[in-house]
Amino acid sequence: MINFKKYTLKNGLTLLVHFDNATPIVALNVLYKVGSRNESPDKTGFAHLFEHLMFGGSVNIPSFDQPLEKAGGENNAFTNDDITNYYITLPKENLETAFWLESDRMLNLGFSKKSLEVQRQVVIEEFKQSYLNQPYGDVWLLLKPLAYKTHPYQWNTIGKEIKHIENARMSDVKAFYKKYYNPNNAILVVAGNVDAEEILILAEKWFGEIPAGKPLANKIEQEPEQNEARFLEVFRDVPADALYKVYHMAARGTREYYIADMLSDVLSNGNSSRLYRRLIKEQGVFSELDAHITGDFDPGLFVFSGKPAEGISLESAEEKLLEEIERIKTEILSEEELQKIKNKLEASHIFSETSTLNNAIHLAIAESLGNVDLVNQEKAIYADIQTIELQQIAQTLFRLENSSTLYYRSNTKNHDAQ
Amino acid sequence: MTLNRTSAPKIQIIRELNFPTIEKASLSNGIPTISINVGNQEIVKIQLVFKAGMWYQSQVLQAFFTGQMLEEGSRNFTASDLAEKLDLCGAHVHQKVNRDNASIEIYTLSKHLETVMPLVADMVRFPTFGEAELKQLVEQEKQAFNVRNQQVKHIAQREYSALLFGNQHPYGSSATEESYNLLNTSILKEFHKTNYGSDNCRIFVSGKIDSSTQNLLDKFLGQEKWGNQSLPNLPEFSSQSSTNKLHYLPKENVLQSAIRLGKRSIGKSNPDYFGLTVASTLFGGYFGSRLMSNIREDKGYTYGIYAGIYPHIHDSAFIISSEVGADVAQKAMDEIRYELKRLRTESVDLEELSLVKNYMSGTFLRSLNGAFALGEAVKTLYEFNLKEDYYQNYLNTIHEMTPEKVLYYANKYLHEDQMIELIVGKK
Repeated sequence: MINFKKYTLKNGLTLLVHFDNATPIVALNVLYKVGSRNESPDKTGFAHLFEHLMFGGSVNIPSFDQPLEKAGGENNAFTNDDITNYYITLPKENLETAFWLESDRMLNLGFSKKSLEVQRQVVIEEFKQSYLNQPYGDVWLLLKPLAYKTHPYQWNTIGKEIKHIENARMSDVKAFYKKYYNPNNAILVVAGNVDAEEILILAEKWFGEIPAGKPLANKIEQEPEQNEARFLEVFRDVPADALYKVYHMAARGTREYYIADMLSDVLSNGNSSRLYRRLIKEQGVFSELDAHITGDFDPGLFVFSGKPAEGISLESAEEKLLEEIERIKTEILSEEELQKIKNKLEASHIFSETSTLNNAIHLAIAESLGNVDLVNQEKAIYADIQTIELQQIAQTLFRLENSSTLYYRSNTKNHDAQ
Repeated sequence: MTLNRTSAPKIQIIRELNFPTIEKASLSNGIPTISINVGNQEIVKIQLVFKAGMWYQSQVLQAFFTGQMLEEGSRNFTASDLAEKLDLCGAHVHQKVNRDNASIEIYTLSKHLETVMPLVADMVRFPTFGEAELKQLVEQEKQAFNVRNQQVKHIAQREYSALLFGNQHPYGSSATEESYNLLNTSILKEFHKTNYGSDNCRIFVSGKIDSSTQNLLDKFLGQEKWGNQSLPNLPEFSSQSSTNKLHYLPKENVLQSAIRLGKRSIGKSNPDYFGLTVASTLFGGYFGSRLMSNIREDKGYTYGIYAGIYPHIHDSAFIISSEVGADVAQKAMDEIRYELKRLRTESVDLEELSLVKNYMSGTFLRSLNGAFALGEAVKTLYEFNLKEDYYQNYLNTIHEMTPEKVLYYANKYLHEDQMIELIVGKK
């Protein structure tokens, strides 16, 4: 159970306070409801580039990191398809430093020319390091546009191409800030050994005077139902072939979403899961195989990814995977198997709740989905799911015409075979 | 009243650690147990630690695969039974093998410990080392190795260890594709027989603990002496760093080069260790470090650059590592050398030093936060044979650092002319 108190400031900022007396560290988390899905198709990678600029200093505080480090604090941030999230952990005694820093960059960011120039370059290096200079690094650059034709999920958070990042201008950056970085588009969470009333006073003091921005229409064009199987084959300099198969699934927060999540656990969470046991251990068809969901706010993807074992072709590996998928569609799960998955979920919930920062981020995400109570309702939802529902969702999702498949072939392997 | 946003709120400096009591006991057969009882959740982490890391192996990968094979079947349970029963409890059991030690880590809800312990005891004491299971595992790992081997980062890591310690030394040797083909079940059985015994074992427990925890450990692991009862001799090796200081390994078609610069250094029990970590943190150990400020934030050559001390039990290294744009590898190296020289020739200003001290104290508090983190900290004390006041002394020493001391440590341990350089990729 994650306890919390919720307040809304006059300028629309949502405040959540989580109490945990087991730690001398306090977490302060600010979530902005903007991600790469809010970008326009010719300016992708912007939300993430902007995350980097947020560390370039604000009008009243030239350096963000230094005063925080001086207070014994540490911070980081992440951007995904749906949100941009900033978090600080520091000794409880120095909490006000975090309020000071986070509120000033929400009020008025510095926008130095140098910061934009350098962070553009840093992000380009990040693009190379994570997506281009890694074996299989470009998989998602290929898969997303294959699976999405309309929705902005068709591009990655890092951006469609390096060029979009190179082209970012100061005027674009300022407009982005003005539109999205406002208290009424943000969620503040404070977690630790703190008193909620005192936190509210601090929040009023530091964030209360920041003016609200224009309400956002934020209409995102949704992906129409996919009606034909999609297929892509590429050749790369990698040592082994790899198979990727994705299916469209339900939006985060819906019951169908949780059922799909559980389905991914049945298939591939743990050494006794079906794919691991049957296809890796018993049949030796794959050397690696994983099923997971992307966790997106709008309808996301159910993902299978694997590498066939030595000597097994992509075609026959895919066939075996499809047999396993067919089995979960046609045969109902045993109650024992369902119980096992529920036990695993129970344990992972309890382990996850030992981290104050995890709890803070979890609260912020649930609130940004529009229902903060989800943090505690989720457990009941999982506990209530029935075997028949798992089968129904498997039948709904795992249809040929709902699938996109990527054959990622090894140049060397292919060469050897000739 | 208008808020003054230009001046920082007052801060407090962390000087005291609130380290919980370390409870020491032993099982009936003499296995020492070291426990930290902290936390509100009904969960527990148990680590069985054996001196069975790479230091003790007679061929590359022997220690690693011995550890991995524990979950592939035991006297009373097949691999599939073990997996099924552990998953039914929502418990996680991992094998970790590093240069010095091998450990089995168990994470479970306290209520399932009674079910989990007999499984773990059987895995550790009576693994079967099946031929077919090993063959499959070796194939999987070999494929993963070949994937890693494409990455400049991994190539650099492997080659650089060999440059620092020598390729025959346990800290410097590493696998090639060939080493996977030389494995067989009998050498793993031999390694297990020699090194996985009750006399070579320590148990670390953290989480919410009561008397039943200790009783369960005793019931399943403590009733009799097991495994080898004559402790193996500690093998001896001496490190030999490369005498050539500049190394370059070309790799075609890369967008980034991996770079390394460093030398062998001092370990945790050396009196200079604390002071040196302050100097090295200031230099490259946090986001605002000199390396990050110059090479990432000023030049944009990299997404990240880091420097730190990597202490093993018998030897240690100071290493600077980064992946940089392939066209700027040499420029980045020049900047690193410039910063090293600056560190040992120009006195650091007090403002920067006090920032680093405060940052490190906060990091201390963070790294000792929560039952599992504390358990890990206690394990380190035992592995490196350190006293219980180690962390408090560490914190005190951080606060006692002065600009003169930074210069002293930088000159003594971080001289740019003594560093061994490696570039993998383009230069």
